[in-house]
Amino acid sequence: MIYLLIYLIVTSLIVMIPGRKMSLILTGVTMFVLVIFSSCLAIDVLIQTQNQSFLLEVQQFISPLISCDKLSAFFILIINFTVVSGFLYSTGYLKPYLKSKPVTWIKLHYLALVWLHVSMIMVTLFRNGFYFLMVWEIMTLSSFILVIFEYDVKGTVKAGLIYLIQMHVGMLFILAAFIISSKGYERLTFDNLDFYFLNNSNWPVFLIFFIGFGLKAGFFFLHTWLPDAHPAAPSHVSGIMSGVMIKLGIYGILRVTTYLVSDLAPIGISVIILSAITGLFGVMMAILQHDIKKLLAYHSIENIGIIGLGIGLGIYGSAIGNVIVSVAGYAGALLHTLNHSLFKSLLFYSAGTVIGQVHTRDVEKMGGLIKFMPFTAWAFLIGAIAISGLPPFNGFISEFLIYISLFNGIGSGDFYPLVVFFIAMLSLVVIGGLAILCFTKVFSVMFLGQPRSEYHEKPVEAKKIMLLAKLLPVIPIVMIGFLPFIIIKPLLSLSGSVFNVAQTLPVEAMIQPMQYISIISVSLLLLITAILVVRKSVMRNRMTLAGPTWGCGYSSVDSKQQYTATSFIQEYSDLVKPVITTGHSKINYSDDEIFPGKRDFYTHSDDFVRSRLILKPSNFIVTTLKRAAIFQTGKLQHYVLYALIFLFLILALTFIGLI
Amino acid sequence: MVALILIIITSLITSGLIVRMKSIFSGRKGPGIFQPIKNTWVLLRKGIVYSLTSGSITRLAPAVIAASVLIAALMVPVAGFQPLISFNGDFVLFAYLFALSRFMMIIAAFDSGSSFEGMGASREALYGMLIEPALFVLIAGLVIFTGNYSISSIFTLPGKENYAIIFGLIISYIIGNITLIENSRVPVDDPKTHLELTMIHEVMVLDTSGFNLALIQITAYLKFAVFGSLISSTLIPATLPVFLRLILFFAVQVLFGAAIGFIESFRSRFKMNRNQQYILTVTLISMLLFVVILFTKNIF
Amino acid sequence: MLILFYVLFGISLVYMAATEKFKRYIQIYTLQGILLFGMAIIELNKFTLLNLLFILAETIIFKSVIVPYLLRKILERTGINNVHKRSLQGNFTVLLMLVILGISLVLAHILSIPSVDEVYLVIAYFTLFTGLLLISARKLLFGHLIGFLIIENAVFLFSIAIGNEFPLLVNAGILLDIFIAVLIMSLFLTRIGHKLGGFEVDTLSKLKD
Repeated sequence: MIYLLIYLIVTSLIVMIPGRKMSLILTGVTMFVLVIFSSCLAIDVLIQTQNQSFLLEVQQFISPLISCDKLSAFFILIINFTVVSGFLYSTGYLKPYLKSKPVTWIKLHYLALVWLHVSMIMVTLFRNGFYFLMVWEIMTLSSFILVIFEYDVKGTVKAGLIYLIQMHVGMLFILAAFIISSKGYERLTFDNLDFYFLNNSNWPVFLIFFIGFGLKAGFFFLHTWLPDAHPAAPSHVSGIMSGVMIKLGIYGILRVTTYLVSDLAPIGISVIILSAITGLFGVMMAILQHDIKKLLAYHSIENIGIIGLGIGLGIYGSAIGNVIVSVAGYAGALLHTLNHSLFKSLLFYSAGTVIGQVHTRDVEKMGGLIKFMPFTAWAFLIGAIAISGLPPFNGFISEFLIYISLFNGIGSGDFYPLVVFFIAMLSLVVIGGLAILCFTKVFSVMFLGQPRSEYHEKPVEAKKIMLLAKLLPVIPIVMIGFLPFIIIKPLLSLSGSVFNVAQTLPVEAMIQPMQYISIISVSLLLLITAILVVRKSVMRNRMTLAGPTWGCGYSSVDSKQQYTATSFIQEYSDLVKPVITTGHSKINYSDDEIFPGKRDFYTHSDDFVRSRLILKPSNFIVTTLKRAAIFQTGKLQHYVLYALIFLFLILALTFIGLI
Repeated sequence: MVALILIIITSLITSGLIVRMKSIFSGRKGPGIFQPIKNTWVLLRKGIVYSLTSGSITRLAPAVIAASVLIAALMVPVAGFQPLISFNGDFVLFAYLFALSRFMMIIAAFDSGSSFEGMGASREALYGMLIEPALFVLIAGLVIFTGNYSISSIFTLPGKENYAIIFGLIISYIIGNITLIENSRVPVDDPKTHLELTMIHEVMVLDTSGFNLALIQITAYLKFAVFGSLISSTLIPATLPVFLRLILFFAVQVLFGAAIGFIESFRSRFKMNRNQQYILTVTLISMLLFVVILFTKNIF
Repeated sequence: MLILFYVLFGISLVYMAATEKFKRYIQIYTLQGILLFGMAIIELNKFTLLNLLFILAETIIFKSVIVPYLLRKILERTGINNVHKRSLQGNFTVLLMLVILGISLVLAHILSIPSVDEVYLVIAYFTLFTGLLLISARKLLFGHLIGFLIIENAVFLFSIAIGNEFPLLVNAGILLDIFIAVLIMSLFLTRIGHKLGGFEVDTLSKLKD
């Protein structure tokens, strides 16, 4: 507690100190110190075999109840890693802005970054209801400040406000759930849930918690702030938000899940169904986007769906008593949380570099960037392969765990669980296929081929510090992908012990596939290298020429004739027309225009949840309430008249006896 | 080990068999069965022409494509011979290795900056996405049927019940359809047509030549061999003596190649739009098989 | 053995969902008539002789010979060939068939009758819903007719699955339904139809004028 106070003081000092370099250094120093301290704590907790939590309770009433069990430790490590890489990235990314934005604003930005880091760690540590909500609020506010960094760009502040309002609504839900579950206790804590769930039906409070945390996480119906807030924010903030802040909503859901005792089957089934819909919706919308950051934001929704699928499988596995389903489900969800923070932050950093060089977020105007910035392109490629869940990287391992859970459920066979597992498996397969469609589109259109529009300035590779920030996530991605058996054992013990699944874990059954996977990944790499070596030695004596691309006889092939992103997904968008409509601008020709002049054409796809669920009612409310404006006449006599009427009304009601 | 050798031997003959069959049905004598292999061998010794637009992806991709399919072939059972590597859940790795090779092929197609290759890439991505559920539904049904979780155990002829052979035939039919779609054969795409507007796989390799093109052709042969081996595993019981199994295996492969040649000769290509419907129909058939398996296992 | 016929029936429905030409519908309907005949033969011991003769007449003669002949005549007269106007509508039919298969599976499990093997119920529900899907998803009138005929097949399947006796009345009712439907449709399409301008269902709504 004392440490945290010191941090708050130091960070406030950052705003006072003049000079940008100094504030940067101080931010970095405080951040690193906190990272080291909390990581040591986390690793210490994780190493212990039982689920011992480290309690720190200074005084009875005022202080928060801090405890760090394995779940919190896991999340602390994830938070630290991504925040560090985000900070490294921001030092390079914000350089162009240092001249254009006022000094105070930049320092406020760094202050908000530190506060975000501190509050995220505190969210995982605090168990006391009010303090939890307090740091939750601090997290929301600091991320709001971070999001509206570019306040002069149109729409940024509005996106930030939408985000802020929705997070507040979420907080109200969490508060309500805390209050309901803590009736008759002197403090609101998570531990009250333990007793509450034993005596009352579980699902209403779980539902309220789920809505509250789900607004932060971005499940379907609760996601409408995500596709606006992420593009509006600068890239390192998007990376941190999408990488770890969303996961704190998952953390909240997991924390509540550790206390569940009854109603497991309906809760599990509804979480599975909702997560399947979330995943499918996220990736289906992601494919139709042209704005790269909006696409990545929708993709985050999809991955939250996959994590939710793992959680739902864990809950449902406990409900039907199948240990492997439950343990593998939770393990898959936790691993995917880690993996997603890694590759999503990597993708956002690469995208940020590209946007910084090309000055547009529209994918259709890019192309051929791999020649200008090869390192960024390869980092993006590794992130894209990982996020599609392909071997040999880490995305495959977490999806593999969820598949193990699913197929064990299918194989164990009663009818109704079979239906649930079957639907979940189908949705996971379709999600995987669509993710490949999405990321081949993005990577190819952005980096390959020729530039589809004129670049005003020649794009150059990013600075070293940004490259280092991109390299940081790549290392665990590759490591977890090639050596999964290192992480599988602690992961399994984590999921087993935290969620009270079983005394004996089926660890051996799951280590063996992991070892084989790593054998296969390594042999894949060796084989690729072998083929390349053979080719190189064989080509030494032969000609290797370069020539223009086959144009089928066209003499002037333009770069605009390349396949665009919209055309790549055209068959797909026709297929999903009943569900998600894509509108496009109309082109009219007048009759006497023999050679058509220049026209602009754009397509856009609508988020039907946002337009029908949120915009329509809010517009309706606004227009209805505008009618009340007839009472605002501006004349003082009318207002005095209103006061008089009110007094008479009160008098009359008291006379009758109603008040 | 035997499984891998058999797969490699099969990959040498299947493609030539298909071409030979098509020639015979057209009334010609046709090239020898090893002619495609000879073509590939010539390609392996030629130089390479790279497109000016392409970058390092085009140099890397053919190696990844060939390597991932070859590694996936390590996990496939052949007529009752066990594969080199098998573990619980390896069918997920199998399917996703194929997806990796498809991913790299699509990226490599875009790297040349040609609009034709983009066309093929978009179709390949969509059809690949649509065919995955069929394979997984089939695997789910087999998992329930046999109670095992590894490719080598589920693609085996299940016991001596009298309806086992019918199941084997239906499974072979589904796998045959999946082969046609994955390798872009008629009725999905005609490999003989070189009209760029209508090709899928052929058009994605327009700017690949020499060693790289040979690698991609080898990948196509391997894919045929892998699917043919899966069919042979389903139809040939593992309890027969080794010699008999080998003979039956080659018989099944020859029949498989002949059947594909037959279909290619007598069926016309679908309109491009109808391909999606065709692929979805294969998923429907898989699901029907799944339902029938549920009946026989009395999961009701 | 009976299950084989049922599975073949299911496969024929899958084919019907995927096909493009109307004459294939007729061929599949003929096949279904023969399959129903086969099923009736297998359940031979349950029927009286009169019943059996009636079923034979109904399935083989009526469903496999007369009705397809009439349908083919209709096709020749009106010259309709392809099922869909635009090819994309086929996808949704197949997707919906997937969903329908799942729903009929779950439904048969929920509404299971103890004395009946659930297999038969699943296929019967599947047939029923396929018929309904064909009616609602086809724009041309001919498709509606085929959907109706498939629903009649579904009723037949239900009665075989459930009944130990096979009352004459049910069969007579089915026969009457089919007869009237085909008669009216053939009259409409061959004599009156081209005067009213088209065989799409939308134009029928203009009939009241």
